Amino acid sequence: MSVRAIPELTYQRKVRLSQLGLLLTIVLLLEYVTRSGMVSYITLTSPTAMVSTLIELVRSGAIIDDFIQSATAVGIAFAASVGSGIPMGWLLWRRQLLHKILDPYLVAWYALPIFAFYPMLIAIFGLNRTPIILISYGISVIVIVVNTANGFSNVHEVYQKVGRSLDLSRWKAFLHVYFPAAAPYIFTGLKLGFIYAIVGVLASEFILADAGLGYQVSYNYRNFATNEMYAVILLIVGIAITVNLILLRMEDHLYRRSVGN
Amino acid sequence: MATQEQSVFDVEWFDPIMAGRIAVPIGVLVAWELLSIWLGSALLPGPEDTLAVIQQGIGAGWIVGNLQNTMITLAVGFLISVAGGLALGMVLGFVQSAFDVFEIYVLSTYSVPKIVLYPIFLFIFQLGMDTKIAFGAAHGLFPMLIITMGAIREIDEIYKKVARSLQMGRWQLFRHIVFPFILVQLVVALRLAFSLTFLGVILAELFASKSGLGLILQHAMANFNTGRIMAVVTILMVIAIIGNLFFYAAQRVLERRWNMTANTGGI
Repeated sequence: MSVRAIPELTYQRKVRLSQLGLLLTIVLLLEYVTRSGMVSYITLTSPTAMVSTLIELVRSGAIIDDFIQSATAVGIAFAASVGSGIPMGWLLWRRQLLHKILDPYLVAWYALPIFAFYPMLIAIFGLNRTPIILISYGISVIVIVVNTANGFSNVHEVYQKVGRSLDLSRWKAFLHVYFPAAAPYIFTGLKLGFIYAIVGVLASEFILADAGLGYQVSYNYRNFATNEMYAVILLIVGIAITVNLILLRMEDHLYRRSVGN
Repeated sequence: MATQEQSVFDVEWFDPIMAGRIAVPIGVLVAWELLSIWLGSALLPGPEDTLAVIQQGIGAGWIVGNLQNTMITLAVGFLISVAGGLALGMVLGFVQSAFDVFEIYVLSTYSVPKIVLYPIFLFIFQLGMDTKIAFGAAHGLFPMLIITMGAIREIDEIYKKVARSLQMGRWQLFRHIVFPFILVQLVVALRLAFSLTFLGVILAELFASKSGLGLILQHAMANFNTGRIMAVVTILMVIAIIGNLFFYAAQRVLERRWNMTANTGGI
């Protein structure tokens, strides 16, 4: 039906094409650089080798246990962060004096290299999952607390008045007014908290652990198993980017809906 | 609720916020001491044990040199991340097509746990200061870039129209419109860049390095030398807090000033 044989090159399409082209260029460049021997195979492997090694690792099941270990640790740490972070953020909003007192410390907590406590936690708890989960929790809970508190403080005065004029009980006001209004902000906190939880687990495993995806990278690095190392890195990067893109999508949707309302 | 609390303490010399802020670090020290007593000071050295180890370390010489090394690495890495983040952030902030193409790349790269890429940094830069600097800078670059980019894009069209109608040059536009508008956000970005660069440097030193406080931490971890672990951790936390409070204070000052000018502008 269409008159034109070539689809029209709208701006949106040009952007998408450039993005794909850039990705393709990078991949092809890596492939060329490694295949031509410009870069030693000990330092870099080709993208095709990374993918085939990764498929092999998944098929043989060599990496499944590590994936489950890491995923479980992220899950536990994130669940604990949500379970404690949202009530703490809510408390900070209810008690403004407490919020004012703690404000500079919350900012400082953000900045603390929490990770430096990892060796101490290993000394106390031993080399197991507990120090990893605690570090991951310590890094991820703070963004949830701060964003929850900010979310509730940003609830519009009009919504609060409606809640009061309808004579809602405290719980009902929370459920029907404050929580929905603050939800997008809280979600931003959850999004960052989840990404931080992943970073916390992988970084701990990378430095010192006996299992997990992060451990697999450092183990293969120390044993000059470059192929396997890059395969695991590819897996981690792929998971992180996918999770992030999904969360960004959801966040975008939430904010749009709340603005639309 | 807040007014009630204030009225209880409504005495001129008593500021509940200040008192609370002083009480927090004291509370942390007490908690640390109690935890140390409970676990035993061999497992968790208390504040005074840690201070003794730090004093001994300064005398024995393993603190000062490594501290210097870490601080120089941090300073250079921070400068690189700020310069790079600002430059890239400006380009992506001003050029719409560049933003449309690269935004997803920037956000995706930011979400990757950079620690697992450290071996690649080691391959490229070898085991030395360069690796630590590059790794630290790679951590700090992204908040700087993302915040600069966002701040520039948030500048209201009206300001740009005013600039155009006043026939401002590029530099004047930057000096009188862009810079004042993004200044507060830039200070926030500097704070985050500082913290993340510091984290990157410590992680790099912890995994593989030839010098720095992170290396001491790594050795202490291998030998279960909890005294040294707590000594290094304490020094690192103090540096992080001082650096952070410096930028936070600057941010508060600017916020107040910014609010003032914003209000008078509104009138």
